[in-house]
Amino acid sequence: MALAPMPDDQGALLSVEGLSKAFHGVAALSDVSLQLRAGEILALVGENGAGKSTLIKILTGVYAKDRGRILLDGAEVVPASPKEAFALGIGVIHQEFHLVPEMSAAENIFLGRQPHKSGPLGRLGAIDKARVLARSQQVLDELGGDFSAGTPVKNLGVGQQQLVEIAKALAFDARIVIMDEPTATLSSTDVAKLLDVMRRMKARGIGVVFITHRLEEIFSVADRVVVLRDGRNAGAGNAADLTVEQTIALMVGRHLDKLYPKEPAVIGDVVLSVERLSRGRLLRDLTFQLRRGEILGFAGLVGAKRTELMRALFGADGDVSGRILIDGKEVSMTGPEDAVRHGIGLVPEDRKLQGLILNMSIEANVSLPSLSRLTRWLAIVDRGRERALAADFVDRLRIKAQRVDQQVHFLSGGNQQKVVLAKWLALKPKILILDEPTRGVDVGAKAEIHALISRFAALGMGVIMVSSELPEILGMCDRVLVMSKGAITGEFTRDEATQEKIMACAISVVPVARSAA
Amino acid sequence: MSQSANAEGLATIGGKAQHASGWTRLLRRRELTVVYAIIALSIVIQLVNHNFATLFNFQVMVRQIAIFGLISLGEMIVIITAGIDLSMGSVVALVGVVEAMLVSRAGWPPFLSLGAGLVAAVLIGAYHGVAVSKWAIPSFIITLGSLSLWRGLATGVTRSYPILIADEHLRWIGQGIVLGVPAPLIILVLVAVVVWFVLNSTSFGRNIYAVGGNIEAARLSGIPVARVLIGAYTLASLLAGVAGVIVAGRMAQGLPSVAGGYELNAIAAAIIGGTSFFGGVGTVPGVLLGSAFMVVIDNSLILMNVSAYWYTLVVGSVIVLAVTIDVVSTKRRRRAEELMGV
Amino acid sequence: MSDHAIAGEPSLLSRVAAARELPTVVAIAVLALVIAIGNPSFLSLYNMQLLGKEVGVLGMMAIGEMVVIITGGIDLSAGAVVALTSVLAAMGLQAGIPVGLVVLGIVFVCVLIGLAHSFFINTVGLAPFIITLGTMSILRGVVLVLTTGYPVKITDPGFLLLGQGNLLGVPLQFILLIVVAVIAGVALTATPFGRYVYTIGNNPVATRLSGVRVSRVTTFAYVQASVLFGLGGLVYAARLGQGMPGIGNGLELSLIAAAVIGGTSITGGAGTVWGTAIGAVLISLIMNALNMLRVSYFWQDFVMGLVIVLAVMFDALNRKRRVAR
Repeated sequence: MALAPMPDDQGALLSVEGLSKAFHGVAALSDVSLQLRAGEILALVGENGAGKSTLIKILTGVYAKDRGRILLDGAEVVPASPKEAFALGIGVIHQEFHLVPEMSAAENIFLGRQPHKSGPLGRLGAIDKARVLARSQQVLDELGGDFSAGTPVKNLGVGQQQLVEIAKALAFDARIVIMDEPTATLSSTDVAKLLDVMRRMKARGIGVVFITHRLEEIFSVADRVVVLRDGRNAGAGNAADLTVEQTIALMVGRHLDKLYPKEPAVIGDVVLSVERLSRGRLLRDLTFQLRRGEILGFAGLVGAKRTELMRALFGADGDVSGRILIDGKEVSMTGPEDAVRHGIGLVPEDRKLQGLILNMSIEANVSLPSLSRLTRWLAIVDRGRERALAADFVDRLRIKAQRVDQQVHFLSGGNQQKVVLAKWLALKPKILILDEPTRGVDVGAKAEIHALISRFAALGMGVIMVSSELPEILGMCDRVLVMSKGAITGEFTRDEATQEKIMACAISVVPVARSAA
Repeated sequence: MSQSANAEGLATIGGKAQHASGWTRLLRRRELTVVYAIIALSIVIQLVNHNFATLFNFQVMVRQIAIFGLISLGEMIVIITAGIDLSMGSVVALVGVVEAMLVSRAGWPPFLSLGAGLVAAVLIGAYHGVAVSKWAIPSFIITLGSLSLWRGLATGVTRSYPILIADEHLRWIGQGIVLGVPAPLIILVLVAVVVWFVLNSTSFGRNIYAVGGNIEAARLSGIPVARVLIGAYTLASLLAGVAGVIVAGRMAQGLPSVAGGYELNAIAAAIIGGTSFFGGVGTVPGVLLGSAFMVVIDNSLILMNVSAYWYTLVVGSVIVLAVTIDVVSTKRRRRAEELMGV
Repeated sequence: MSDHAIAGEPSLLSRVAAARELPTVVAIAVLALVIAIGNPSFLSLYNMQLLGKEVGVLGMMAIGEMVVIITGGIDLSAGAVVALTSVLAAMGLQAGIPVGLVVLGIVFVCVLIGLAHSFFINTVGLAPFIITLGTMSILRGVVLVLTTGYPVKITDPGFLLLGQGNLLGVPLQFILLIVVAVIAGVALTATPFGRYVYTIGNNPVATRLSGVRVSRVTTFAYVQASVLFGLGGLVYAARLGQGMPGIGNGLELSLIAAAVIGGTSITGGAGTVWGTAIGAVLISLIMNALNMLRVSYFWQDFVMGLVIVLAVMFDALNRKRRVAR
């Protein structure tokens, strides 16, 4: 792969050298380097989990690095907190906005940093409102904003709110602006406006680091591209010299030498059929089927709304239109209790907050969905059966715990996930939905969980697996549906699928026509 | 930089659309609605009982608005931070008792006694703020405890007996008239202006709105959230303390049983005036109008010969209705936003 | 460390729970001693029966309040419901309605109140404290309007027995507490409903995503609370021989205090019937002490306020300690 060499240090506004960071012994970043010049737009690209957000958090003082150096204008800096990073001139715009909706754009921009009037009133804390308004308007105008700084944020569109976030950094003369997936929730018009904003920042000499997956978009505005993969530098180059295909290859190019313990399974009838499922503008006209014994993967990037789809299938959210059929019969879901009744289980993305009750015991968590079935006369819970159930699963799933009545928050991530799995297995569901099942799970437990998932399918369960790890998707799934911005943009069978093809669809914004067949 | 930016900034603002931003228009609508409601109600009452539109009656109502207005402002500040203060009536009673005891029994100079009463209020407010911000105790329970604690203290110390205030200065605060305007009203106006200034034009005030509107954003912007909360609760109790001084002056005694249930009235007034339970929203004029509305309702019950016992029922219903409207409309908006993918 | 779980050992947790009530039990013992020394008539049968009656009613209602608090909510309308039911019962009896129907009618009214609470909390989305604050006001207003502030006399002897009768020397009210405590205790520790109450208090999101009908559980919680408050009102009416509109002022504070002292966390997720009962004993003892030691009656509110503030602060400290781990 012919790559343009990295420019040397001289003249670099920001230089990162050999940055490394590990969490609990697992390396998130290994020896990562990059340079950013003033007035340059650098695109930082990589899959979920490639290390981009860890890198950003170190630059903005949220995490402390283990090894490596950060240089601003050639001098080393160690941002120890977000406040310090901001004072150093490093501004960051996150995916979720941190704005006070009832306040104006101007007030939000100067939140916590209001300039005071001179004189006695100012000493009492009186804000120099004229200056606040004028300066924010100035910054917003320079960014190409088309609204008054006095407008309350809640009346602004998403793109405009993002502009306010950007203005927060620029109003205090940030020299480096880091944008984390800024286009994930924007419409195409807003994206175009945002790219224009970036050009303006570039023209003002600000160094912009732009984290994104939308390769086609950034190639129109970025000067250079840095690709991270599995926590390391995978490659870099001038945007003008790289093609989308080359970039994708750098993002995903890895040896698929991990063997996934996938058991062969007999794929049976359609157990779940979804027709034209929609939810506002979040989920758009989704149609697909799931068969018994099949593992159906859902790939996609941040903002693809896969989790929203899973919640809709589980009845967890309202305002859902379309049809859901289980074993050919249409079902209506007013809440998760209906989904459970129809034989669906959901292992949520956020297992600590949504999948488990952390300060309750393993057995209490495992028995929760099936509690009404574990009763003897007069609706008294049969503690013996409950305990036996939990003990059985601890055994079968090899949950490493001291005792069955131990509180779940003492367990490791992998074991916690197994408890969540156990909870649903106790109900013998027809359909099991897994949302990022191995996220935050160590390697050993990962393999065990994969083996378990494979087993479930072999026993006739229909399994849906949402994952952002392409190797996992390719290794485990019989079929892959790729989602982007709430619509299905690609479908591949196990044989057809490659990382590149999946990534290409994940980036695309063109929905694929679907039929109910 | 500021000069040219000012000129430039102001010029460009003039040229942009949406300057009379949507929300100020909505709130104006809310305040106008309350004004219309007050006018409509007043007309109805006047038709039933011609004694409504008399100078005497207006003076009565004005004094009540002065007291309730102060308490409602305090309640508004706490609700803006997404909390609640159920102890306001008790603070009013305690402050009056403290002042009366010091001036009449302990022989303190009158203004020192007044000051001590206000200090007591400040301490109570600070204690609420610390409990809510540092010990993570829900505001409703800590202030519910205060409800019993402070009135109980006043009752215990005085054996439920009023303590006369003979000092004419202290009495004047509640009873005096300046150029035909009752002193309490003057105090209310002065205090309201100060509160309005603080809430709208100082960092502390804007930080209160920020903490209530989006506590995470506030924290990330470096706002000292705990300090802001303590300040808010302290200010609220201080306002109740001022009301307490006025009440004590008006009745010329410190009475431990006074102001029972005033906090409910204040909550109703605040919500009617546009303060949202979700936090981050509330204006001084809105709350004062809400207070006026509650006073007119109270007055109307008397003048229309409806038994005073209906008042409690009415206040409770008003609270439930107003909060329901607030919650339902906010939820509807948030749901729409979510569906749009915002 | 074995890979597999060991089943059935008495967990550290139950031992800690027992220890949690220990300070309260000690406080009760100490307080009882102090009162007995200060006023020996404390130990008389009459006073013990009086205590038993107070503990009975308070404990029964505190258990109702506790269940609501465990689910993460609160019910501030207790005192108002008590006043309302005592007055309605008296009015019903005066109108000649038979006792049995009166009781049924009261229960029906309480169920409606509980359903209303649940509707506003679950469907509309109001915070529990504000809606129950509102109903507290509304119901008190209703009582005042119905009675114009005057008590309503009761002369039906059958009804009065409920409040003043004893069974083998033990007041009926205390027996009522025992019955309620047993039912509640079994329900909370041994039925799915009870388990759901705790899981909802600990993590309502995860509970819902496990297929539990959260709103059904919380509805039942608010209904049972209102019903128990209503029964309390009936008992008070029977005891006093009249329906009193002013009764129960500040009652909710005593109930919450009893629950929190007994180990119920104000933010939900924890609490036991046994602990709440002990808390009710302590609260009743404190009230009794104020009388026996001839402390001025005027200090009662202050003492109650102090008790609850201390209890809640202690609870907050415990919570902090748990989280800091």
